[in-house]
Amino acid sequence: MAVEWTARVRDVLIHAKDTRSLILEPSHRIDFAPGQFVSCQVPHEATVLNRPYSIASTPTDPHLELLLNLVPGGPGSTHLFARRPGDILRLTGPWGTFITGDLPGDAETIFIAEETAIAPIRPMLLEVARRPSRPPLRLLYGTSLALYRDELAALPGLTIDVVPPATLYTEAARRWIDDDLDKSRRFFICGVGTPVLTLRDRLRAAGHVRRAVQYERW
Amino acid sequence: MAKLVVRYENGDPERVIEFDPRKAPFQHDGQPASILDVLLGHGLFLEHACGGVCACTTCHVVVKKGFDKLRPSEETEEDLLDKAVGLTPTSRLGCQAVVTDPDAVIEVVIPRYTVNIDSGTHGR
Repeated sequence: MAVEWTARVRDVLIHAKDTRSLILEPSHRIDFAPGQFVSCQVPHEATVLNRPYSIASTPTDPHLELLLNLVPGGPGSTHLFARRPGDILRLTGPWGTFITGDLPGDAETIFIAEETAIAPIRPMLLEVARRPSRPPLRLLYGTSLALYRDELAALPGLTIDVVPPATLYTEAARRWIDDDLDKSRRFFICGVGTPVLTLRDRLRAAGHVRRAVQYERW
Repeated sequence: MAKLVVRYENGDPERVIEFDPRKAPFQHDGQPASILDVLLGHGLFLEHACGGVCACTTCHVVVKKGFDKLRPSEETEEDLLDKAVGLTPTSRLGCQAVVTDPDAVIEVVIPRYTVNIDSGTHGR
């Protein structure tokens, strides 16, 4: 069974009515790879559920940031939205395999993020952009809030395109499936539900190597 | 009744569960009648850091018997299994390996380790 640890809620950052960040102080230092998540123990009826939340901060930050939006009826987000500074969360992890790893060569690396699904991609970009040798980076960001946009825009070697959330997947398909003959690119996609899998399938069907299309579906 | 035999790579005692997959779900997490659902619903723990939604590899199991009695895997599961520690040809994610045959006999081994990329003490 996973080792459980605790974190104290230091701050709650309210980005919008249904979007906020919890700034956490873990009980001890948590080593993680950008892109990973923690699993939050959520009391629900007579049991405890595990609910995953991507870490939006970087491994060098002194705190953990969880960026989340309120899912109506969702026990995890409902629980976390009720948390206040000083509350204690019970967590396990870090977990997950949605990480960049080495990015050899100079093939453009595309990050595609839908709204709060920028959470795992933000630390990935911050880390990759600091590498002495890195491929060209591009972020296609479907968002109405543009969280972290200014911070990310300052990163060297990163091009950011912000589009309305509703057009994110069609824009991705237009750019890298319909109008693109270059099959050397790598993709890291994070978003909600079936559109992520549809884009994955279309990219692979269009000739992109299976393992060049990494994704996390929320 | 279907039968699920659970063996543990770490040497914990073998457990046997008899269940009717038509009565699933047995609890909240994983696909109904999945190995994860059956285990949790019968009081046996299986790691499932993502909540059983096919978003991690922590419920990795190795199927020793009855592999063809499980609903076939889909691409998302295969993509995750690619990254599982100790991957075998009969590896499945417990949250997605659904028992459909009410007379199936399934035998699984729970690996000693679940994946934790930073290899720290957490997650083990």
